[in-house]
Formats: sequence, C-alpha cells, structure tokens
Amino acid sequence: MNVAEELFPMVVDGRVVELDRIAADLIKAPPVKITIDGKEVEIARATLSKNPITGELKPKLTTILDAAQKAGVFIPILCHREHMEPVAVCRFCAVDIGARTLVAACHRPVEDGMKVSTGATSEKVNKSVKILTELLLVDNEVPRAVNREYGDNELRTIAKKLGMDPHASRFPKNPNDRGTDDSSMIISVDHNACILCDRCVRACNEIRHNEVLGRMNKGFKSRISFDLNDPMGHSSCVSCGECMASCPTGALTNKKLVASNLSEQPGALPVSVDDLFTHELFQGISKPFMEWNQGSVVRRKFKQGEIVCNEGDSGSTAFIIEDGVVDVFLKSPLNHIENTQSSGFLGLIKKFTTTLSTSKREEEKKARYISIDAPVSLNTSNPIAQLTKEDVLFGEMTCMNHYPRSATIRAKTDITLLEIRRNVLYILQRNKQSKAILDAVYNKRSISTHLRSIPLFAEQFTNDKDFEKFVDLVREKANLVRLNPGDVLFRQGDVEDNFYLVRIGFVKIWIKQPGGDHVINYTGPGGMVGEIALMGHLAELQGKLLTQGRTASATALDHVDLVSISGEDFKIILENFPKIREKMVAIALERLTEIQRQIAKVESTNLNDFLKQGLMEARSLLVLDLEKCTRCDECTKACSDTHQGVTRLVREGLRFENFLVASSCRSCLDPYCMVGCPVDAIHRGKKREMIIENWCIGCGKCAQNCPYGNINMQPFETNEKIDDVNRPGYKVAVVQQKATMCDLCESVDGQPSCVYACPHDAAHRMSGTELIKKVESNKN
Amino acid sequence: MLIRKSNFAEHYPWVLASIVVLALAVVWFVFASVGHAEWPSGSSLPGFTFGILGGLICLFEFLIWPRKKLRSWRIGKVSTWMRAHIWLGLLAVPLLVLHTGFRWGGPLSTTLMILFLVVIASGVWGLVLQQFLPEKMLKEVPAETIFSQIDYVSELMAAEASRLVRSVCNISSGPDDSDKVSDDAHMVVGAVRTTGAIQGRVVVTSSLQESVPDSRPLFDFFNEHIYGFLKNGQLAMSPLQNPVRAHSMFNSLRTKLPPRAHEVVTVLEDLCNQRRQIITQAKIQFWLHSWLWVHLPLSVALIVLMFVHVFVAMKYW
Repeated sequence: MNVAEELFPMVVDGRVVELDRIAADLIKAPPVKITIDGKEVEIARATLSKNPITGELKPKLTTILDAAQKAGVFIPILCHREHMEPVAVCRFCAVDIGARTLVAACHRPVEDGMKVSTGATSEKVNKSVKILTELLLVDNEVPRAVNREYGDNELRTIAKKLGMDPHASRFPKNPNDRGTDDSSMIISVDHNACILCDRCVRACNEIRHNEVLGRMNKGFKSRISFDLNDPMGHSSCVSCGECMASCPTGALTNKKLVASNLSEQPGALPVSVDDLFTHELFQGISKPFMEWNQGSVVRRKFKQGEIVCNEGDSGSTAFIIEDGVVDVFLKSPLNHIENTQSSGFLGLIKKFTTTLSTSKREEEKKARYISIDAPVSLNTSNPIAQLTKEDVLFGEMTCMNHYPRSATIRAKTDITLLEIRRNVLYILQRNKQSKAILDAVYNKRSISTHLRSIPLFAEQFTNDKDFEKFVDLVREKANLVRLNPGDVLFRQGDVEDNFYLVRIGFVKIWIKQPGGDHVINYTGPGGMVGEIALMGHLAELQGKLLTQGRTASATALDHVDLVSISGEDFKIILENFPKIREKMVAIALERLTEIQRQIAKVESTNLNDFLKQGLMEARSLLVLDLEKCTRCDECTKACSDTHQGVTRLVREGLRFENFLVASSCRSCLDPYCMVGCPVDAIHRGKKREMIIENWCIGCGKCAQNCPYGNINMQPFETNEKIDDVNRPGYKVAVVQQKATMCDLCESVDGQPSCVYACPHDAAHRMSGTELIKKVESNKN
Repeated sequence: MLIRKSNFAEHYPWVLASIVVLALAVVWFVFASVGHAEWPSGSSLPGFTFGILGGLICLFEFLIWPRKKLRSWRIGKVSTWMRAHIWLGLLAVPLLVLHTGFRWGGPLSTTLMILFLVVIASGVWGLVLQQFLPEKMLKEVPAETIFSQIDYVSELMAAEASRLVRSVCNISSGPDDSDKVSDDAHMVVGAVRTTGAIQGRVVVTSSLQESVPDSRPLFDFFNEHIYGFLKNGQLAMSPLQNPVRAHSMFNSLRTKLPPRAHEVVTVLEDLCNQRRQIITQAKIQFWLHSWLWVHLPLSVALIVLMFVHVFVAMKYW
C-alpha cells in the first residue's frame, strides 16, 4: 500500500487538502457539547488550522480553550497562541474538569459532556493561577533598557487582570544570572526576563521553519539557545523577527538601532506596513517587527535629473528602486593630484604648485571596472551605468558599514525609491525569502560586472565572448555568503572547501604563531580569499604550502558579503581557463612568499596589534613622530586656541614604533560612535570627519561608544540659573554638557591646527594604512 | 627641529637660497674691497646692504615668537617658519660679519655683535639638542607622561601605592593624600605595556588585597624609601633613584616578607621604575627647553639694541 492511499482529500476554503483517515474522521464527526462555568457550548471535535505565514492547513483537535473562546469565557493564556501547537508549559490556562489534577485548557481536547470550571468559578483554579503568576513575575522583574522597543508585557497584563500587583511578590528572585545576548544587530536577548514559555522556539521552528531556537541547561539555569548555543548574531538566525514578535515578556526585544525617524526628514513620504508587504522583498518578514520599525522605511520621489546621493557623501541608508531608472556615475574626474615643478629658478625649490594631472600610471591605462556600492561596476573609460527596478537595491555598503557613498546617483527618469535603515536591510539580507530574491538579482545581473571589477579575471580575456563564457560558468557555481563582524570564515589547517571573492567589507587574513596571532593582510572589495589551499594539488605549488589545509585563517572585520565557489568548481574553472590558472598560481606563490616573509618578521611590525588598536579603520590619525617631537605641546595648545580654550586632543596614547598615536578623533571607517545616538546628532562631515550637530543633548552615548576615548563631554553654562546650595541667596548657572571631538578643524578652515602649529614637523595626519606603510618604510 | 638625510628635502630650498645669497654677498664684498686697503665698512654700499638684510632677517627671526603664540592664525605652517628661522638665522651670521667689515666697532656695536653671536649660539645649541634628545626620550622613557602632569601623576602614584601597602599591612593610617584616591576596592597602577610594536603607558588596576600577616617590614620600607621617592622624585634623595640599588633593595625586602606579599612588592618596584623614568623625562625635558631661557630674552634684547644701533648709526652717519 503506498502512502497516497492513506490520505483522504477534503475541500476546505476552496482548496483540496489531503488528510489521514483519523483526522478526516474527526473533522467530519458530529459536534460535542461541553459546559464551561455553567455555559453550554457546542463545538466540532477537530478543525483545520492555518499557518499564518505559509498558509499550510493542518488538522487540530478542538481544545477546552477553543470552546471557552467560543462561549465567551475568559481563560488566561501565556505560552500558547492559536497558530501554534499547544505545549501547556505555563499552566496559566489551568481549568478544573473534575479530575484528580487541573488540566491545561490550551492542550486538553474537548469531550462530549465535559464540565469545566475556570478561575472565575473555582477557587482552586484561581489560587493555582495566581501563585503561578506571582512566581513568573519574580522571574520577569528585570529593568527595561531605554533604547529598546518592547511589545506589551502579557504577563503583567494578565496579572493586572487577575487583580494582582505586577511588581509585588512574596518570593525571592532567582539568584542565577542567565545573562544577556546583544550579538544580533536587531534583536536583544535578556535571558533573565525569559519565562521559558517557548513561544519564540515554536515561532522559529513551527511557524517559520528556521530551526534555530531551542532550549539548553536544566532547572534554574534553563534558557533558550540559538543553534548549538551560539550567540544570536553568530548563529544561523535569519532575523525574521518572529521570535521577538512572539515573546510575551520582552526577553526578546527590538534593539531600535536608529532612534531617528526617516519619515521626519524632508522629502520623505511615510510607507505603511501593508504597503510594504505588497513588495515581494518584505513578505517574509514578521509584520509586528515591521510595525515597530515603521520609521525605518520611507518612500522618496525624485524628478528626472535630480541627485539622489553624491559620491563621498556619508549615509546610513540603502535604497530599493520601486519605479524608474537611475544613472550611477562618478562625478570626480579620474585624475591624479600631482605636484608640478616650476621651471627656472623656482624649479629648484620643489613642491611649489599642485595641479590636477591627467597622466595615468601604467596599470591605469587599460580600461577596467571600478567596484561600487551597487549591483553594477563602472568602467573607467565611461564611468556611468543604469539601475532599474530589476536591480532592486543599491547603497548596501554605506548602509551596513557606514562607508561613504561610492558613486553619484541621479534620476534618469522620474523615480520612486524606498529608503531603508540598516536594521531593515540587515533583516532583508538574512531573511530566507528576501535573501533568495537578492541572491537571484546578484546572480542574474551583478555577477558579470563584479567579476569584471576583479583585475585578475578581467585582464585574462581579450574578447567579451570569452569573458561571458567565464561568467556563465561562475554564475552556475556561485553562492552569496554574508558574515558579521568577527565571524571566522575559515581557520588555519581547516580542510579547504571553498574559494571566496569579497564583494563588500574587509576580511582579515591571519596566521597562528608561537608569539600570538599574526596578521598577514586584509582583503577588501574586489579581493579574493582561500585560493592557495585549493591549488595545493598543482605541480607549481607542490611542497610550497606551509601546512595541510588552509594556510591561514580568515575573519570578517565588518559586515562582509562574499561570493563563494566550491573547491571542486574552482578546480574546474582552473582547468577550463589556463590563463586564470597561470595568474592564480603566480598570485598564490607571491602570497606564500609574503607569508614566509611575515613569519620571518614576527619580531618586527606587528600588524595584529595594529588592527587590535583599530588603526586599520582610522582615516585620520594624529601621529606624532617621537624622534622629532620636542614635547613642546604646541599641538595641544593650538587645538585649545582654535576651539575656544578646550583642547580636543591629548598628547598621550599608544606608541607604534617611533610614532605616538595621540588621543584625537580618528574619523574611523566604521565609526562606532555613530551607533546609538538618541537624537542622531553625530554624523560624517564633508571630508568624512566626524561632526557633532548642535542638537546634541549631551547624553554621552557617543563618548561611551568610542573605543579610543576620543570624544569628550564638555561642560558649558546655560542661561538658566538656580539657587546655589553652598551660598544661600546666590544663584549659579546651570551647567550642561555637549560632546566635542576633533573635526579636523573643518569648523575653522579644514586645516588641522595641531599639524599647522607644530614647529618641528612632528605632527601629521594620516590614515591607519599610511601609518603602517610609514613604519614599514622606516624599517627597510 | 630634526634635520636628517630623510627629511633634508624640506630644508633644501632654504639651504639653497641661503647659500646663493651668501655666495652673492661674498662676491660683492670681495669685489668692493678690491683696490682698498681695508675691508668695506658698515657704511659702504655692500656693508650697508648687508646690514639692512641682516637686520631684516633678525626681525623676521624674532617674529617666530609671536607666530608661535598666534597658533590659530593661518599665516604659513609654523614648521615652514621654523625652517626659515633656522637657515636664515644661520645666513644672518656671515651677512652681519660682512656688514661689520671684520671690525668690532664701538662699545654698542661690540655688545650688539656679542649678543647676536650668543643668541645664534644658543639657537644652534637648541637645534643640536633637538637632534638626539627626543630620540633618547623615546628609547629611555616608555612611561612618559605629559610634562605638566608629572607632579599630579607622582602624587597619585604615591597615594595609590600607600593605599595598597596599608591594605596589605592592615594599617589604617599612613602617608597618603586621601583626596587623590578613590574609595573603591581597586587601585590604579599605571604600567608600561608592550605588545609587538605597540607600547605605551596604560591604566592597570590592582584589587586591594586582604591583609598579609607579618608584613610590617613592607610598611616600614614603604614609609622610609618608597613614598617620598614616588611623591617627590629626585628631591627625596632616595637610594631608589639608582636602578641597580633599587633592585637589590627590593630583593632584600622580599626575603623579609611572606610570599603572599611579594606580588605587592613587584607592583611597588614597577611604580618606582616608572618614577625613575619620569625623573629622566624631566631631565631631558629640561635640556630640550632650557636653552630657550637664554635664547628668548637675549633675542628681545638683541632686537632692542638693534634698533638703538640703527638710530645711532643713522644719526651719526
């Protein structure tokens, strides 16, 4: 007998549903009559329940709770929701059916002639439910964080409904700290507020079928866990938000990363959640979650020719194209700034003039593609491209990693865009349904330009036909992988599996050494990772690999998007394209030599320390050459003179070889200080320096966030006066504070005074990478 | 200002300009002296020209002082002014010597010339010191702090160390400044840490330990030697100033104490090491900047006398 013969087809809501014989019999069975608190109610033995997300219909036995709801009798429920399988763990819905013990109304199926008493009529039930409530309230008594978005606390609501004080309990608090988990960008987990109702677990597994959430530990230490007890942000959680929307006590809360509302900005049109759900891209996300984040998505309309964003602008949003066509281009001429030498006597005195030169270096003479923050790359010979609705999204890199906008976007026709905040993009990238759409777009439209932007591939093909053949081969084999900051892509010695191309973000390549971890390099957009171990079988590399498996480890430094190609497919590519193979071998040999050179220099420059200090991120460090610096403090005094007597730098900090990295704003590539400002008052300026707007409320959040202690809270007297407690009859001005930080003197004239006033040419502004080059060049 | 082969390109225009001017001046001076028994005097055309040129250079040299005070003014980078200051100052020496025609002249011009040479010599002395003292500080003082904060840092060190010692020795009173220290259960111990290429003075906290029996010798040693040294440095005339002596004293102290107190001794030894470095820093800082006490007032006097000289020369020409 085959399986199909066991199923019994039924028509429900115009759809044919196949049920097994028992379920079908129950649904077709005559209704039962039961009495609840004296009210008689007639109800079917079983019904079909619909999964609100997938629309899947499943047979479900009718419970006492279903009957009570039909009769209009109140039975409190906490761990149960009508679209979930009942588990009866909280026992809030306890009722008396005359049995030896109370039963859970959410779980107990109805039986004909059953007599049920709820808390309203049974003192035994009432007492039991109240004690349970009191015990759970003690577990849930945790302070609420100010920067979180909480849903209704259902536990407290029930307590109030039962006539209890939600904050008073006779029982001591659970002494075990179960901890918190803030690793996800979107959802914060406070295990101490969790009452283990398992609604989140069922939401994740039964409703969304993500199979991420579960339980761990026993007794007082029991708590929910993600995958194999990974932090939420590092787990396979897709951030659909269903668990958060299901949590009755605020143990899973919306982090509210960006407090400011996009819809309050000029030109922004509000978008309702229902409107958003007409987009296929949003349909996989939890509706309550989108309701909490309504201000994070707005609609913007641009007339033909209007600029959406300029290259170099700072921003924290991405755009979804709803309608129209945009031009993506680079406004800046592709030229170098060069110092030209004057002729004659002045020519002897170098560096007198600075001009924009059209000269090109040898490697720039060939046309190539520039990787930008959009599904297209720009050709250097004509740096303009178009994006349409089919491309879906642009601006991911700026949005996720706070990098400056990489190109200018102009409306080619009248256009409509959805502007989205980082938290929404994060969810779109991780949600199964949205991710599938975005991945398909990449595979269909972006992969060709992405591969073209990688010189290794672009330079190996003399005609477009060959290149397209190559793209087609890669397209079939490529998968998109997303990493969070700190995620390890692979470890040294791991079995080699995939080859990766970096699309967005930076990956740190490091090796383990007896003296500690040693950083070899970091690879950004357009780079590749993991090729060496996959080429170990090639004759050219025989005996040259340092270890079995991966020769180094790779870790994501920020939000990283990678294109992954399996090892087998990578080998096929090498076999089919000899020129790529040749070039790959050359690169691998070069990298192996570099690794060996680095190992030999373990005692010299330590890039790892460099990264630990966040110097790689820095765009504008104040670096003092300690061999030149006479400690005259002119830099500090100049800063103080320029900024109304308050210095924004301290001539102290860590030394890097001969250089002191002074405590002054570094204008980081990924400025952590920007995250969490409640009034959105900290931004990037025109030259990517950090600026604090005049509406700063002085909360100090940015100063707290800055890992390098480079934001100071500066007190100032307001016009308001209050009584002086130390001198009766006198008044003193109310003192408020505002955040101050180095703005590279942008508020003055853009020339940092610290550098300008240094008499000994010891103070310099430079990026982290420039510093490391300087240190290296001093050594060699 | 450090002048090395690696950064000589920045000095090159000034050096070149100075050499060219000097060469022209010498040629003119020699040419003007041909057929005359004596060198051209200050009142001759070349002498007068060199005088005006030298005087203007002196005036420009003097202007670096207000330039340095007007830090937020955008009138050229101070480092550019400094390069000009160095090389034009050096150029002024032969120009003004040519201006004198190799004569001392009267008392006023003699005084002026001596003053000028002392100012130049003090400047050169300062420049020479700047060639190696910063490097010495870099190598010998990893625990460097901001010079103006040395007294405060020293007092803090002494007070925190006193708290630590008293808690270990279970003594409620002792030599410390209670307003300088926090009341929490940790004390702040500045420490120099090195990881790879990174080095610096970092804040390290040490938890106040439970008292250790038989640790009275530590308290006595602290009172007798360490506290004064940490607070007053060199002025305390402590034997701890000598690193070898200090090491042997701390080793000897360890033999008198139970092992549980040895960790505190190590902390104190480290603090004394940092204090010694701060003393070295103060010494280097003194040499790096003390020459200015000669250079600056004499420069002011030089400018005043120069105007007197101009007035006198013009009046009696």
